[in-house]
Amino acid sequence: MPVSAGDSDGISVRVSVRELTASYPRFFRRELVLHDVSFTARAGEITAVVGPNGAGKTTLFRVLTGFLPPAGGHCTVEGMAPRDYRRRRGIGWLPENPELPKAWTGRDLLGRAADLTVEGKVRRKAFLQAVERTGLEERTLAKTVRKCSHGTRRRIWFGCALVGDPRLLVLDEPFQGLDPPSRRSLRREMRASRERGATVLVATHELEEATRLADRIVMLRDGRIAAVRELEEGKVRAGELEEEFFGGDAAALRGGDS
Amino acid sequence: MAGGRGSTLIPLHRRIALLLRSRTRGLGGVILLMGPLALTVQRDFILWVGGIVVAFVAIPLVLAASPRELTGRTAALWFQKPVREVPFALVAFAETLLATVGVAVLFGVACVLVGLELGWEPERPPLRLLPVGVLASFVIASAAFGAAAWFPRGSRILVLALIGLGLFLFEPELSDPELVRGGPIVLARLVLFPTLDLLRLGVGVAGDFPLRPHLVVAPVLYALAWIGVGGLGVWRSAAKGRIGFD
Repeated sequence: MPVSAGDSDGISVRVSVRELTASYPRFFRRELVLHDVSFTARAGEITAVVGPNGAGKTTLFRVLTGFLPPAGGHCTVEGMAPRDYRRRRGIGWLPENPELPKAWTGRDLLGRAADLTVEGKVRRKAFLQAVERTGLEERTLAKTVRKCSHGTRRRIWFGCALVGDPRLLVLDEPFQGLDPPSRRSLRREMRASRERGATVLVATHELEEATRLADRIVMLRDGRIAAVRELEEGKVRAGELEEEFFGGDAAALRGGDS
Repeated sequence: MAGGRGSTLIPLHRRIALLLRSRTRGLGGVILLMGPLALTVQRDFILWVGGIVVAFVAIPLVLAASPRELTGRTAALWFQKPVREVPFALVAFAETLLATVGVAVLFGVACVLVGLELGWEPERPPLRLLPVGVLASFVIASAAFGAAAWFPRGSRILVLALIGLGLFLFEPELSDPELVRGGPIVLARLVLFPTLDLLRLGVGVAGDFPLRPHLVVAPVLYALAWIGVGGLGVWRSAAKGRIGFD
C-alpha cells in the first residue's frame, strides 16, 4: 500500500473532514443537510459511504469535489481546500446521474477530458489509458452518446474521471444501472486505482457491494455519521453490519423498503 | 487551464464540428432568421406580418444554440477538471458563437453565389441583409447565454419576452422613422432587446432609412452587456455550489 506523509498510524490521510456542515438554499432559509460530519480517508484505501436515500451522501461528495462550499467545519484533500480549481487535477468524480453532451462520441469526450487534465506529451498516453480503463470497444467509443446505453454512458464518464490518474476518486452510486459484467469491470478498476495508491470514496446504499469492496465503511444517517467501521475485505457480511449499525431498523438503510 | 498547452487531442476545428452537430436546430434558426429580416424591410403589411411570424419560429431555434450545458448537469463533466469556471464558460460561448456566425456567413455566401448565378443584382436586399442577420444572431445568442447563466430553466422564455416586448414597445418608431419619444421609452430601449435598432438597420441596409453608427453600436454593446451578465452568473453559480445540478 503506497504511503506518503502519514498520520500517527503511518498511513497517509488524504481526505480529512472535520465537523463539516452543508446546506442548500430553500426559499428564504437554508436547509442543513450535513451536521458535524467528521472522518478521514486514507491513501490506497477504498472507503464506502453507506446510508439510506437522503442520508447526505451526494451532498458530502459535492463538498469533497469542490462543487458545494461547506456551511461550516473543515474539509481538505491533501491539506488543500477542494474548491481550489487546481486541486481538481487530482480528483475524479462520477456523479449519481451523469449527463453527457449527446452529440459527442465517447472518444471525443475522453480526448477533451485529457486536454483539460493533462499537459504536454503525456496527454495522449493518459487518453489511451482512459480508453482502456473504460473497458469499452473502439466501435462503442465511436458512437455518439445519444446512441449509447445508460451503462455505457456511466463507463464513459468514469473513463473521463480517471484521466490523469486522480489521487482521489469520488464515485456516487457507481453501480446504479450496470449489468453484472460492467459491475465486475468497475470493481476491478476501483481495486486497480487503490493499488495505484488512490483514495477511492464510494457512495452506495448497497451494503453487500460495500462489504465486497471497501476497506472501511462510513455510515451516514440523517446527515450525521452513524458509525465508522474498518473491514477486512470479504470477511464481513452485509447482514451483520446492517444489524450492528441499524439493529431492528434496517429498513432505513434501504430507504424505507422492507 | 491544461488545454492551453501542447497540441490538444480535440482541437478547435473538431470542437466546432461537434458544436455544429449538437446545435443543428439552433443553426437552422439562424438561417431562418434571415427570412424575416428580409421580409420586414418590405413595405407590404402581409409580408411584414409574415416576417414577424417566421421570426417567432426562428428565434427559439437560435436560443437552442446557447451553451446551456454550462450550467446544467453536463457542466460537472468539465468542471471536475482543473479549469476556472468563468473563462471556460466564456471560451465555450465564444466557440458556440463562432459556429453560429460561421454557419450564417456560409449560408449567406451560398445565397449570394446562387443568387448571382440566377442573375440577381448584387444590391438586392436579401443578400445585403446578411451582416444584419449575423449581428441579430450574435445579440440573441449573447442574451440567451446571459439569461441561461442566471435562470437555466426559464432563459429562453425570458429572452423571447424581451424580444416580444421590444417589438411591441417600438412598433410606433418602426412605422414612423422620424418619431422620437422620450422618458421611460428611452430607458426601456436601454434595457429591452435592441429590436428597433436591428430592424432599422435592416431597413437602412435596404436603403429606406438613414444608416447611423448607433444602429450597430447599440446592439453590440447590448450583446456585450449580456455576455458580462452571463460571466457573472457562471461565477455566482460556482460560488453558490449550483453548477452541475440544475
